[in-house]
Amino acid sequence: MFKYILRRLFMLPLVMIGVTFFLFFLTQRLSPEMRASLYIQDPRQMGSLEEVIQKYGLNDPMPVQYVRWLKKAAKGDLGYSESANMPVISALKAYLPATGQLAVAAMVLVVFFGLWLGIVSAVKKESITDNLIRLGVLAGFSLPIFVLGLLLLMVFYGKLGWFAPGEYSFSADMIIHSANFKTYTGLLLIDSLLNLNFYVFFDVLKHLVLPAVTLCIGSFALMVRVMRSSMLEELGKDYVRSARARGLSNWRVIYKHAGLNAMIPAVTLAGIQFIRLLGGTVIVETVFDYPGIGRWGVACAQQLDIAGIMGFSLMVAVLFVLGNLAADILYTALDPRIRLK
Amino acid sequence: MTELLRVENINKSYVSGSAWGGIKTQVLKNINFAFNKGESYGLLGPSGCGKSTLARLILALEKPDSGKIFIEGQDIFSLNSKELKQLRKKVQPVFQDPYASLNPRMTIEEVLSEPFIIHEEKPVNTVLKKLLSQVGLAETSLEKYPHEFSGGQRQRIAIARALTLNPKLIVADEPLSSLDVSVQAQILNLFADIKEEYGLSLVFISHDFALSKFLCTRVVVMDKGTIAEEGPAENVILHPQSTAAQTLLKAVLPLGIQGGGNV
Repeated sequence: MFKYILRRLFMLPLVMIGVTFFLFFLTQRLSPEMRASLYIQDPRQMGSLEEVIQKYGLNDPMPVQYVRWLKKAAKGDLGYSESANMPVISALKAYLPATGQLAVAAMVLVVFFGLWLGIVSAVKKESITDNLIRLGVLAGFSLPIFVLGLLLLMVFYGKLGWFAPGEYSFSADMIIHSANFKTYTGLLLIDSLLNLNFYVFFDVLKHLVLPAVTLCIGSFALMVRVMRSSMLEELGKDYVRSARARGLSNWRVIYKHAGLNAMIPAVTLAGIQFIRLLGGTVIVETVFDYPGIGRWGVACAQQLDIAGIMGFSLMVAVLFVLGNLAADILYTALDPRIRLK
Repeated sequence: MTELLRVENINKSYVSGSAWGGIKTQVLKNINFAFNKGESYGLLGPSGCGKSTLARLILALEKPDSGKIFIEGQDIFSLNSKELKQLRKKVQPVFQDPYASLNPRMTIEEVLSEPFIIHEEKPVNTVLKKLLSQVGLAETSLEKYPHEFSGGQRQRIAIARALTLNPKLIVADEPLSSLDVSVQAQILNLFADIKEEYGLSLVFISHDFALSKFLCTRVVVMDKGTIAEEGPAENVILHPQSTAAQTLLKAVLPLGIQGGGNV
């Protein structure tokens, strides 16, 4: 098990190199002049384009330039993000916690409510509850997240004024940036608790509701559907029947016997869905003006912020590998038939 | 002799299809039979004749549309949940597919302990080991998981589990049909042994006359949800009266396993 984790972590640099190499190749499709213009702040300096190309070696063969980028990256220097107005590393540090918070909140919704609704739907098969759940699942599948996001904003912000976009309100902003508020993790939900500031905690939580719901909807629907069918299969197996015949109470049969076994396929799915969520943040954060790496990634792409794009993709690749690894580990915890080697 | 099981006028139907209106199929029609303590009953019939449904009803896993089932004089469908839990100690199942009948997440120790825990008894390690040796498995099997055993071994575990609460009746729903022939014989002998040793009764469901004859004193032949024939095992096998029993016998005769009968 330990060896397996080590080997998977060893794969991490390889994935990172693969992803960045491919992206670097794509950015090289831009002319050296276009790339050089990124280094120039003032239009009056445009005459020095040639100088910049020479200075940064933008005309060198692609592998040479890539190795140069790699060497710098290995030292922790990912360049300067024009769109964020700060070094890429600082931008990641500033934006990642917000996205992390959002993705975890969405994942909690997917896993807890998704599994639970799947179980309920299977246990009450073909009842009104089941049919309602299935109808909701179908709706969840059919709604593109940008449509759902805008709809939710229209109703809950525009009409009702309950949930505002952004990461926190103006008053919470004042507290967060005051001297008394200490930053521990960068995750505002946790930091506000550590500061014992419940006003900020609930403010941040309130701002999480709409983006998290929007982000999770597709994965949520899939999770319910997979859990339902997996649960139906387990409920029909003889070990469930024999547990009943032994006199085990109904809910224990459902959760302890059938539920845990039915979760095995659902959990594998959760790993993949976590990655899908990260992709979804790009849209959701833009719709809800949520200051995470997704929104930053969009800005990078729009402004041809090459250093930013590279940094963003690198981060997503790392999260991708770690997400899959977490799913694998969870998988062994649930299924004794699987031993990782 | 005291009566152990009485099945009275049992009717059962299932609705198949969607929730918006399905087709009702009657699976069991007016089933009646009874037997005494220590006797064993073979339930025979082709697939789809309602044997397994009847088994689930005897195990009180499902309710009939009408009719009653008595175990030691108790009407099992009129019991409250507490009484039903007590009754479950007396009737235990062994199912057909040993790959589906054990929870893959539980070690054998957990599998065998669970019945005790459900009934608020303490599982004693020596008792579990004794159960294992009774069904011919090593004591070291306790900490293993079901996937580490073969089909026959798993069926032995399922039998050991059925024995944990000292039942009076074991309902075995085609316990041999997913095992290969050499293993079938071993498990058949195991059933015969435990029947003797625990003095328990069997409801042995199968579609194989030879196997039922080995274990059962009486047989019931079922066909399309009704009882086609009922009587002492010897009689039914040697002189089948109903067409259902005759077809069933013919289906196995060409293999040459059967002793009597006319080809």
